[in-house]
Amino acid sequence: MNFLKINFEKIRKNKFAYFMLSPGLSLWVVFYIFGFFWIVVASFQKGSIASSKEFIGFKNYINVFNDPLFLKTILNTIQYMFLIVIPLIIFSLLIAIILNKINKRMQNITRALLFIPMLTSIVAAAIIWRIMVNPDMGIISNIFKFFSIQSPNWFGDPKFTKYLLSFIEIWRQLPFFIVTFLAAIQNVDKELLEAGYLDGANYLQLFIKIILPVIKPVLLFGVVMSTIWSLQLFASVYVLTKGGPVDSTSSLVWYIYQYTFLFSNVGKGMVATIILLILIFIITFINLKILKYGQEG
Amino acid sequence: MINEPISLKKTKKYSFLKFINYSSMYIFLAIAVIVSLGPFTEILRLSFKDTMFLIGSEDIKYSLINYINLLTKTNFLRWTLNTIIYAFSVVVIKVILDTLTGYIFAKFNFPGKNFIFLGVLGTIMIPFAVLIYPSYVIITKLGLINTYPGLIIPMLANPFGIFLMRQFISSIPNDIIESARIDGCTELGIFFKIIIPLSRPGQTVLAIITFVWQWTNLIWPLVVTNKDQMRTLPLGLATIPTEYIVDWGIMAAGALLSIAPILIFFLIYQKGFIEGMTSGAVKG
Repeated sequence: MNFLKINFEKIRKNKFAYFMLSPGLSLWVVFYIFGFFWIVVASFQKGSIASSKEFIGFKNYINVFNDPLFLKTILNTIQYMFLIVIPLIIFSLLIAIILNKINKRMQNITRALLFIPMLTSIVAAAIIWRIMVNPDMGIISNIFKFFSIQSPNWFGDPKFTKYLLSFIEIWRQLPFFIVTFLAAIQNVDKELLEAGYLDGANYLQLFIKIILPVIKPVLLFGVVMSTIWSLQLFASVYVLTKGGPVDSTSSLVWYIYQYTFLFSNVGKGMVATIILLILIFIITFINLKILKYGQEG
Repeated sequence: MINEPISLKKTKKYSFLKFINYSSMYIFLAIAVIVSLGPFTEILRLSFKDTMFLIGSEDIKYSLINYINLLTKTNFLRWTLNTIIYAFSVVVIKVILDTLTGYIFAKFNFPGKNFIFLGVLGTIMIPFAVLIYPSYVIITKLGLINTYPGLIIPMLANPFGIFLMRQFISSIPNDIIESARIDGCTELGIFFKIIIPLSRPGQTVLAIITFVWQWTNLIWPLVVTNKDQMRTLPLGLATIPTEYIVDWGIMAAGALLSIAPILIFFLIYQKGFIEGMTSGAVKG
């Protein structure tokens, strides 16, 4: 009884805090917490958005795991992950390292120029690159023609369609990682670098021994963010392929959108949503583990 | 004495290597810039070509026809207006709300604070794509489909801003707040006169990240609107292809014009954009 009384007193004292917290927090509770429970409940139900719901147990889960399209979608999503994350991190880190070495004025100008694709929506980026690879007028096709190489069938060959979608994603997100990594590299202690340089270390050694340990948390942040973004691949699929040819470009979010809003099979869409959530939590969890390990070591 | 020529030779060789090194660096950067910006110049060129002559022939008439078609045959101006209303409303409301919530989390101690904050933190990685269905049902039940509030409200729930503002406000010294309190300043007075002005840098970061996010957002406008009048720019652009199936000229013009407003904003306020994008990651 005693501690209840104290707590109540404390709560009364903090009326202002609770009152001021309520507008922002209630939105979060409604859309995130309530939303999450809703997704879980809907994953056990049958029906479309409009129709009445009926509990059917684990049937949706069984249906999804037996759906060849879903298995294909998961495989595609993993493929996208590797096709996007690895080049994205390598190229952005490389460009950030180079930018760090050139003089300040050039650095600022180049950084601003390289930033511009970030302002483009994936929709606009998809349209732009769709025109660029158009066999009749696209400059990419003209380059292939110039070297007398058969231009790949971008929208007929599943392999190339996947490459194209991944490339558009990389092109649009590269600036974010360049500026982030550059800022991290610039945070490295200059005196430490100079001391290393005077000791006769070359740039590669300096990078591995001094820069890399300092930027490691940001690098990991970059890997996690790009992985989670690659899991959300949707807009380019929606604009360019609608999942085709023969479902070869279907991504997880595209699958969710299709089943929930187009096929009126909300249950299946919500099962896929839960799997997306689990994937995101696994990635975040691994990241936290690695970060903790890095701090101890 | 004997050593001298050797060391000279060494430095010469070294500077030659350095030259190669530097030139390859610049070549690499030049390629990166071409790949990043080349498409824009190419699309700009194509957008002035008359679509009738676009395919196949080399001597092509340049005209404004694509831009005229875009502005007269589609709701492009309406989409632009919608995007401006949508993105700016989200930015303004979100910045105020998250500054307030972040301030409470940073500077107040109340029962349940750590529990609630950990909960907020735990959802920070959840992308909106996960929440489209429940959000859609809530907005439908509220009768807000095809309205601005329907577009805006779910976007305000994102916990990233709360976390960001809490980080920034934590660094404001407690002494300032305490002395204001002693001087008889009300709690609201403290918030408006001290916290808001002192957390400007954090608000700028949040505003820019949110603005770019919403300007380029597709999935939520796609789900929550079904009238062409209520579409945003990315969604409007995404619907042109099905209606004008081979008209690449109009799409080139549309893609370019959809970037123009945010690009102008970026050119004016370039430093803020780049710092805004990075400080979220490097500090947070």
